Amino acid sequence: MTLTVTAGKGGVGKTTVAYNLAAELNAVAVDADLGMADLPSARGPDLHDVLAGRASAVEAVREGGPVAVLPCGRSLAGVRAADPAALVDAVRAVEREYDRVVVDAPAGMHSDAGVALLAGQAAVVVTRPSRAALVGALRTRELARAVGTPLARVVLNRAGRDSHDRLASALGAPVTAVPESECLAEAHRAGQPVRAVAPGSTASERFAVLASAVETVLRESSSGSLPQSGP
Amino acid sequence: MATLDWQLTDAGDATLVEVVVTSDTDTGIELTSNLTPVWPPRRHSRPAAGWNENGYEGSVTAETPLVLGYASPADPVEPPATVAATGPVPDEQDGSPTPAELVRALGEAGPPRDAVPTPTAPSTGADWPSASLPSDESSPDDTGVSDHRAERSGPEDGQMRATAGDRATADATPPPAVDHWLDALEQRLDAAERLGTVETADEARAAVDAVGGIDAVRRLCTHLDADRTRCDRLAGVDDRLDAVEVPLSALERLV
Repeated sequence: MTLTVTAGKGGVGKTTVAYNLAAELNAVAVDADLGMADLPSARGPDLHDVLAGRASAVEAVREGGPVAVLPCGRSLAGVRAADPAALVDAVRAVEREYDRVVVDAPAGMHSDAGVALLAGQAAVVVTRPSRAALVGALRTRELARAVGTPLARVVLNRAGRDSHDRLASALGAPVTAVPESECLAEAHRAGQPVRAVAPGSTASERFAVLASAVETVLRESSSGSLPQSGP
Repeated sequence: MATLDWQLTDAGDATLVEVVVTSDTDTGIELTSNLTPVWPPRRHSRPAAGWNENGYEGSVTAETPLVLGYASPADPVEPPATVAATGPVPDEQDGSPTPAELVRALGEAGPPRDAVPTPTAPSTGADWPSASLPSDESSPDDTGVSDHRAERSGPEDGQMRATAGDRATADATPPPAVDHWLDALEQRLDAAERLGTVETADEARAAVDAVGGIDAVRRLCTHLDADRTRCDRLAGVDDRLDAVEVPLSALERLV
């Protein structure tokens, strides 16, 4: 089963959510943000090589870290050579080998974002309580709908104490609020999932609840009983 | 029944083909070009919807003719294509799009070809006149960084891997940068030879002015020293090339 973590704009904490969800789900995190890769990188073949046909997806997965990662290259030439349309097959190859995959999708409305959504059986949209981020989230919800990928959850990073009912209603999926916290920043600096750094923290608990909810949606999606996303 | 009208334009290196398909009923059609290969219209670096290597598949209605245009490097042929009705107009596709359809519809987010640097291009003595790489001929492909976006028929085609065998294959065609360097070397030699044959002060002044002044002559001498060093290496390679012989037949039997 494959979950795509996406966002309408950059800088909302999408990669942090993808990495922590991969840790909770014991999944491989695929860094599909071809032009702005942010998951930990490593020497050797990366997703650019995979999408250019120079390496197989499974051989590019790194298992050494706290989360298994298929990293993405950082070079312009790598982005140029990569065929975004090949991502779906690459993700399926990883899924066949590892069963569970979390795709860290690029923000925006280009084809790389669309194909990353297409690769998932369900999607999580990450946003923040700012106008630009919420508008981006709405656009991404529309893209997910056009692609046919149901929206499993919305993650509201740096959330305040306000009610999130309106956001859930607008985006058509339940909202998981992750408040701003020092332990998240600390985990990010350490290159660790937050549950490894602060297992009892609010952020850690929220990611565990989110993972459980997403897992249910993915199971329903696999069995074909998933309702359509949103109004 | 679908009928075809056409117009051909000879554009020098290519033939431009305009076709108009009309039909008295709504029908699916298959247009097969008699000019091959087909250079279809492209959208976001991919053949537009309906186009394939042989031509176009789509539909035409009784009310509206279908107008198509494409190009081919082949010489003009009359008629440029044949059209065949393939039955009822297919229904609109339901369900998820394919990755290729998404890329065609949404566009690629990658950098344009000109934004990608050419890291492996060797120095050609670029600070000396007439020796720089012509920018309009350099491309990422020249450096071995393959560009799928020109022709993406599959992930395997045209790719270079950093293995000894593949490098041997890639090196079989010298990169244009090598040719540019050799061209620049010949230009430097021409200039140096002209400078070496002057006999009068006027001739000397004219020859120096032709190069770009006495500072340019000094830079030319520096470049020629570097050229001599490189050519010494080439001389060693030349001897080895003459001497070496790969026992290919024997290796083919053993492997």
